[in-house]
Amino acid sequence: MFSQRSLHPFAWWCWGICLAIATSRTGNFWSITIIITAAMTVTFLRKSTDPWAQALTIGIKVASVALFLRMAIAIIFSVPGQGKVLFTLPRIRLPEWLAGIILGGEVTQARLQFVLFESLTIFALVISIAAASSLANPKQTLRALPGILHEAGVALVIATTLIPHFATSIKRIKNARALRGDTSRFAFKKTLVPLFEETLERALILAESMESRGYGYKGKSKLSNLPTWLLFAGLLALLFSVIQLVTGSNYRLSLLSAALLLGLGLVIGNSQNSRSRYRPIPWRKNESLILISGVLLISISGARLNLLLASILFIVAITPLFLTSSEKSAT
Amino acid sequence: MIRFDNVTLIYPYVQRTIFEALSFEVPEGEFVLVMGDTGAGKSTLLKLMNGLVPHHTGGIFSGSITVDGRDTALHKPRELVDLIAIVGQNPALGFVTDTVEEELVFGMESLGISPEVMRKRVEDMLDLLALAPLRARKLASLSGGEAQRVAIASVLTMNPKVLLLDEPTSALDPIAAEEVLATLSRLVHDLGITVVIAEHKLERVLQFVDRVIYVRNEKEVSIGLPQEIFKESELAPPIIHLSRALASATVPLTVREARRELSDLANNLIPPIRKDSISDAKPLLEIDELTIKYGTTLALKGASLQVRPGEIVAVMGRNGAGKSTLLTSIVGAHNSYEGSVLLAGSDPRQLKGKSLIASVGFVPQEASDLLYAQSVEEELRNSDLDNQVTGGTTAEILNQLLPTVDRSVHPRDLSEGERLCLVLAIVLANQPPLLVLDEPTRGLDYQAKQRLIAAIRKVISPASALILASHDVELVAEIATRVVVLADGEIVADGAASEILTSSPAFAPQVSKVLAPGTWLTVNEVLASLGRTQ
Repeated sequence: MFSQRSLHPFAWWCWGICLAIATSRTGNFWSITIIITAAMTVTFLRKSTDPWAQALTIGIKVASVALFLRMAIAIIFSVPGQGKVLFTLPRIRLPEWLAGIILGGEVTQARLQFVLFESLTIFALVISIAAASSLANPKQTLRALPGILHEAGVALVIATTLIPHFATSIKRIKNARALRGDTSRFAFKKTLVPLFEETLERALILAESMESRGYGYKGKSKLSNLPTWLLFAGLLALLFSVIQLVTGSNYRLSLLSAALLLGLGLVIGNSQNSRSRYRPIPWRKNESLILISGVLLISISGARLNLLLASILFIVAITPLFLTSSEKSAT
Repeated sequence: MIRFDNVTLIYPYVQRTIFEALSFEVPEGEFVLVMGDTGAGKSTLLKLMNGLVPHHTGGIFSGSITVDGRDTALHKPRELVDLIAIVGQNPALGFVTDTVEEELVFGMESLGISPEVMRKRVEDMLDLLALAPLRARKLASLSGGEAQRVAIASVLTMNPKVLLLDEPTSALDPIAAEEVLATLSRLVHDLGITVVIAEHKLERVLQFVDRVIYVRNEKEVSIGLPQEIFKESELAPPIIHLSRALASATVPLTVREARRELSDLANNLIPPIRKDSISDAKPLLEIDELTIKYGTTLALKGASLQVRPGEIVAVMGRNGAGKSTLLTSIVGAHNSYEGSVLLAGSDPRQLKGKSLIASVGFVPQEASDLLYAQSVEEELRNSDLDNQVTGGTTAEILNQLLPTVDRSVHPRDLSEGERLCLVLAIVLANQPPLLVLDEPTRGLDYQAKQRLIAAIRKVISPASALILASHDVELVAEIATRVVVLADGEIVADGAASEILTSSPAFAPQVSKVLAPGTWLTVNEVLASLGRTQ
């Protein structure tokens, strides 16, 4: 059952997304706490030493700040309501043009509980996604993308590798300026002109190198633009469904058509794609088990909670722990 | 293999014709050298062969170029990758991914080669280019020679019949260069690949070459056996100049051939006479037990060096031996170190702005970093202001170094050698007693190098000194009075140029290899012994 190799990055993403869906489905404070604990446990026991593994730590910080701010706002701006009053802050009168906003006042238990639950849900969502991104190698994720999305993936990889170069270039140019006796802290023209020139030159060299290594090679046959249009229409439908979701209209039809269009575009695009993949990470039994555990988690997350169910929930949520070893992978 | 038929090329927005009515043919399975002055169009010629010019650059193109029967005008470079591959001047800038193994498969994945074949070819290439220990390494952590070999492997995985390389050894130390060239030679001999390289440092490549393409100017491009081409070409490595100086009838291409032909001729010459340059003046620079760390790695380990007026010190050593670290410590670029650096008695870290450039002139590896104006004229004016000298001083120095330059052009449009002269003029405007050059001859041809040597001789007075880091053995032999060899952050040899250069096989110039045990270093010294001056 134990595997030494690293899991398929999509398995980690499936797990993270299932945790997030389960979080949004459950209405229970304790279920959410269990999911957060499970996500953190798995991540801290299985993450590698690579830089992206810090994603969860960053996620926790961001989510904590959001939680704190949300609570602070809930306490400072009071909303009139019923229920047991916990304490009362002195009320501050705001000018006329801010009518409707009340600063200070009574803080009720019901409101505090509601806000705490709401912010905890957001906290859990952030943690689920952060857990997945610190466990899945981003480079492998991009490599595992369907072939039609590969070119976008390459662009992303290049962009991320160029950033460190930028920093070294700026430092070098700054040193060079000092060598001309220029000690001013920041000179727009004298720093940015050489930097831009250099960046442009590098971009041209890189483009030449990619061109002469077959990047964008399309094989012999003439390809149709159909997948591109399908993907474009799918994205439009997705945007439309988001607008409907926010405005409260019925979004199911547009969401369904978005999924259909995107799926169709990817399938057709992939069948036309002539790229091959070197040593792809296979999707095996363990990956499927993780996916199943995720679906199981979603299906039981809606049920009424008791001690037995809580322990089942926790065990299902930490399934990846049983399917991977703590061997820290370097890649 | 590659056939040029009446090829003419004009770049967009340029008045000058790059090539006019070129016709020649490169035979299959040979090691071909493209040589010519900087700006003669060597790189353009290589890019024409795989179609990057004009597909990628634009330009007016007429005539036809065929590679193995395929017309480059009808195929984009990406459609020719299984036939012809190119490795650029600075391979590290052309890397797309970030580990060695991923870089090797990038091209194959684009071509849709099946996974089993890819796996097999990657292993083959790792063995062929001795890269197996590096397979999981990050590309950013590779040394210059390793990066060059990875770049070669990454195009060879696509099984091309022709391999083009633009100055593959210009940034490498002599030993790494030797490795890369030996690898290329093996490709020609074992796999029957046609290799075409453009290179300035002829002395490094000549021994491997089967055929030479000499780009004289836009109209005259000749191809022939090296013996024919070097019979009269202006452009030639020291070994050929030596054979001409000694009036030998043959054209030796390797040190071995030259030793057989020429060592007798030099037997009855008077050995070179050198002035003793050791002065007891107060040192301009004192470095004492300097240790510098980058993170956990030691870049310099207790290096000590004193430079007195009148000296020209060359710092040599492998890539990564600590040469640049030593030189940049002179201008106070490192904040924390052990030991001491004293520049005319004061700590360079304390010197800022004007007081720094008044005591040391530094030309970094990327000399163009110092330039930021839009024209040479503006650059000269800025320099007068920066250096607080009377207007026109910098222009006057540039005039001495490079009388013919057009002042209205953008500094980027100057050739590498011209740009270096401009930077030198700017740095020298303040007349600093100490001049520091980090790798000044990267990408310079013989002519530009001669100009640089003349410029250095002109500006170094008995009261000033020069330190330069260089891989260029011939340049060092020509000008240095003293050589310091660094290895692994330690100074392993320090002495008169004639002693150090002749005693080490890696750093010996061609002339001393041929005439050993004689102590001549350069052709000029031999000419002086013959009673002639160049």
